[in-house]
Amino acid sequence: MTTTSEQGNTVTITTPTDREVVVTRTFNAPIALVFDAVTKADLIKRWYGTPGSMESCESDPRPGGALRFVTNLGGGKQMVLNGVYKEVDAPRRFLRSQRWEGGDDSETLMEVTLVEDQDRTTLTQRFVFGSQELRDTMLKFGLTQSGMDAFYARLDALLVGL
Amino acid sequence: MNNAETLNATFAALADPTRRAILARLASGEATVSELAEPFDMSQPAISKHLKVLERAGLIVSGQDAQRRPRKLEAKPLAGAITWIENYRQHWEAAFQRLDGVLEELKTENKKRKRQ
Repeated sequence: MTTTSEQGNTVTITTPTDREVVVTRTFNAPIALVFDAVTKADLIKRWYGTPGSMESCESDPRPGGALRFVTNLGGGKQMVLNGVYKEVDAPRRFLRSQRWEGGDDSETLMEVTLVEDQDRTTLTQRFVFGSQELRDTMLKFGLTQSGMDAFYARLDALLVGL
Repeated sequence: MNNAETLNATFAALADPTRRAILARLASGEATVSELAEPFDMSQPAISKHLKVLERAGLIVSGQDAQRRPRKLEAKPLAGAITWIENYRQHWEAAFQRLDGVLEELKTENKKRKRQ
C-alpha cells in the first residue's frame, strides 16, 4: 500500500510476518543527512512528533547509547519511548531496542537501513514486535467505524495489489 | 475471537505469499479447491492446508454447493487489517513529510556553509 508525497516519494508498508512491520520511504537527500536526521536528537525533535509536541528528545547513536523521546499528547498526557542502540554502522544502518513507558514489558526491535542512489536515500525501518499484545494495542487505535467503512470500499484495490 | 485475536490471525494468514495469491484469486469470484490449486505447483492437500488457515482466520468461507464446496472471500477481517496498515501508514507519511522539510533545511544550511 503506497501513497504519494509532494515530492513524489511514497511510503510502503508491508507485514512480512505477524510480528513484523516494514516501512520504506525514499528521501531527496544524501545518506549522511538522512542518517543525521533520524539519529541526532536536535534533528529528530524537528520532525518526529507533530510541531511543538516533543517535550524532550535524547539520542546517543553509539552501541549501548540510550534514547528517550517524550511526546505531549495534550491534556497532560505523555508518551515516553525509551531505548538502547545495539548496533550502529553510520550512515548505513542501526539496530535499537525500545519500549513504551507504561506499556507491557515487551521490547520492540527497530532496524533502520539506508541506501543511497544518486543523491536520493531509501530508508527501510523494520519493526519486530516482542509480543502480539503490543501490536494489538496499536491496532486498536486504528479500529474506528469510519475507518472501517472507508476501507471496505478499497478491498478490491488492495487485493489486486497483493 | 476478539478484535485483537482476529487481527493476529489475519496478519498470520497474510504473511504467506501463496495465501495472498489465493485471496487475490478469490477477489475475482468464488472457486473450488481444484480451481485454486491449478495455478500453483502444489498438490490439492497442500492447497487445502492453506485454505484451512484462511478459513480459521475468517478470511474465506465455503459456499452452499455441498458437492463443489466453492470458497468465497470474506471481506470483514481483511478490512480490519487494512485499516490498521492505513492508520500506521498515515502516521509515518505525516512524520516523513516533516522529515522532508528538515532535510531541505539541512541542504540549504550546508550550501550556505560551503559558500562562506
